[in-house]
Amino acid sequence: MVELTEWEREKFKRQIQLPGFGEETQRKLKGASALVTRVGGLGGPTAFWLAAAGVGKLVIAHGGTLTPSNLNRQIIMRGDGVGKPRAPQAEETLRRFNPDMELVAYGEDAKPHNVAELVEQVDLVCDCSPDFNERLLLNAECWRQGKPMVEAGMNGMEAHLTTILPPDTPCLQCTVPEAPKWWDPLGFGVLGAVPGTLGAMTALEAVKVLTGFGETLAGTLLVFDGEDMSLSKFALTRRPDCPICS
Amino acid sequence: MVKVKLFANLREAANGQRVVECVVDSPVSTTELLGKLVDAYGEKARQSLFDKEGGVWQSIVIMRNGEMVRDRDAQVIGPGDEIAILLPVAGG
Repeated sequence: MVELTEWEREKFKRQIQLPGFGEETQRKLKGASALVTRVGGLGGPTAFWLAAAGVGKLVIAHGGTLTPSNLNRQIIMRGDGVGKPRAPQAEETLRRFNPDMELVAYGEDAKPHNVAELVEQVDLVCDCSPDFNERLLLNAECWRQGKPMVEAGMNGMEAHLTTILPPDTPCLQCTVPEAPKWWDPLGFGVLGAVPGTLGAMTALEAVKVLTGFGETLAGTLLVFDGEDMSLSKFALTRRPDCPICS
Repeated sequence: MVKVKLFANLREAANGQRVVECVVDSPVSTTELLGKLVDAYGEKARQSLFDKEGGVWQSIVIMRNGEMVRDRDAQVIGPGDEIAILLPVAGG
């Protein structure tokens, strides 16, 4: 297992002192890697908190350019970055915050031609895409490579989070057999603090899966309702005819 | 009586209500329960729950007392149950 430097011991001492965390968990995190697909309102805070926690390597993937309507939630972008590509802005924010972390930025979303390469180079995937087809693509690839996927999504004031652990849990396609026809990737209402809250929880879940610290949401769906601030948990089951995991 | 917790578009269809009650005197299937919601909340609820052929959208998740119900036709929902109807989300 990798060693911590004196600088890292000082930097992370407040989480190393957590009961059950300790230096060994921090070393596991330093030796671990994660992919965050899309670094907008949800994936941006996820990536930021993973960088803050001290994950050793972070890969981000996000295509397109920043628009004015992104700025109510995409907090690792720049206020003066409208019209410019998103990935370099996210990369700069993350690199400035944690220059010790290995960071790889892709200026495109996860697609059939790059998904294997994206997943191959990490221990875990955080799926933060607004596109069901991209999510199902990542799910299939994670299952093929046997990599855990923290699955996070939101709509309006509602947020969902679960962890998919091949081959032990149901996969995403068990609950979403196909991309719902009514879903519009650019049409959902969003108050930035909702994906921000979910992003922090997604990073927390990823830290747990990567290190074995605490209990994870493997096979359990957590639903956060921002309207009444309630949290509910539901047990997920495998679909007997799922083409991915059954 | 069955308590039904609504999320996402379905909550919107039910005029913002988070939890509604449905009269259920004897066991019903999830399809039958969703039909009662359409009767109560109309076209918007129907579009959220059923496709154009009248089948329940495959990606709708029905939870009965915290456990997933996969069989749409099994009459497993009875008086006193707590149901949650979840629509998949992908916003980021």
